[in-house]
Amino acid sequence: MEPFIVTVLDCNVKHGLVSPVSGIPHPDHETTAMMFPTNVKYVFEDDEELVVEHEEDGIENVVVVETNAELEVTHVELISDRFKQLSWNTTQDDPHELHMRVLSRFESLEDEELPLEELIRIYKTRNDQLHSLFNTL
Amino acid sequence: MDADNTVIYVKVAGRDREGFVEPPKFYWDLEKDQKLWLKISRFGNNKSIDWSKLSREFETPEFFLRKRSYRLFSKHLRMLEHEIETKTRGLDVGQELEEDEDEDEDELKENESGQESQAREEEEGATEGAKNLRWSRILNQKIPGDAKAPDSSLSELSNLSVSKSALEEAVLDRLQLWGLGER
Repeated sequence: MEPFIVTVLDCNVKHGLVSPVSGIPHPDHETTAMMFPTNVKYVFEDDEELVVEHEEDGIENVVVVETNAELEVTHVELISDRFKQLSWNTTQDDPHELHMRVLSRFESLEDEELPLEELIRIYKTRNDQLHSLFNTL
Repeated sequence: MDADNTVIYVKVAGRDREGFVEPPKFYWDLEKDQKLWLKISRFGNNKSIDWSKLSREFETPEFFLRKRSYRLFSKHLRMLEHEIETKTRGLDVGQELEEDEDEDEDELKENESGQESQAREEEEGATEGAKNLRWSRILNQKIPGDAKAPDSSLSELSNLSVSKSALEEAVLDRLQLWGLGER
């Protein structure tokens, strides 16, 4: 059985305002929004005891991934005060690679002197994100 | 979200553990991801990647490095495909312009049916020269929809088509051949 890989993309518009990181660019490095939660625990049918990590251990976000016997992901749920889940999908060529789109808290824009076109883009993006969140309620 | 503040539980229904050993906890972030890409993207064609060495260097399980590398390469390939598509579309625009000019040329030929054949040949030569000059200008134009394209996209197109100097040489040769260079 292959271990799962989970990548998380924060769709908050604030990441779009940050300059791209230096070096050779590639799709995931154009933004600071990509996150890699690599602490993955597995729960099988015959597991008698589940060791749960708690808030005291510094845990702020919990993701529960449900799979069927063929290890196909059937459900994903994010429990967090800082992030809301927008959507998830597994890659076409690898069912063990899970990609989540989340949204962190809205923050005031640091740069208040943005061009009109940029403000319109941010407004539209946030509107779309709010619609996505409402649809999940 | 990272390995310290986030835990992921994968609930596998209808399946026993059957000796599956969970990978050790490890830390991965954008900085490491970028370093990985810098390393793997610079490997030569004849060199194979030493995954064990990379695993020790990044303090990360091999399976993760392999999967992550696969994803980075496949995304880059898609970007390249998109780039080529954009460039090709730019060339297609040029071809359409050339076809329009061919139609104009046909109309011109119909109108001049009464003229002598030698004069017509000279006229065709001039049209051909002008067409080649236009081609040169087309290749110097920015490709539509490619905002990142530099002022002259010719250098990027040099691998896909003939060079600017070769085109201009051909035009000059043609002009001299028909005696237009002296006019």
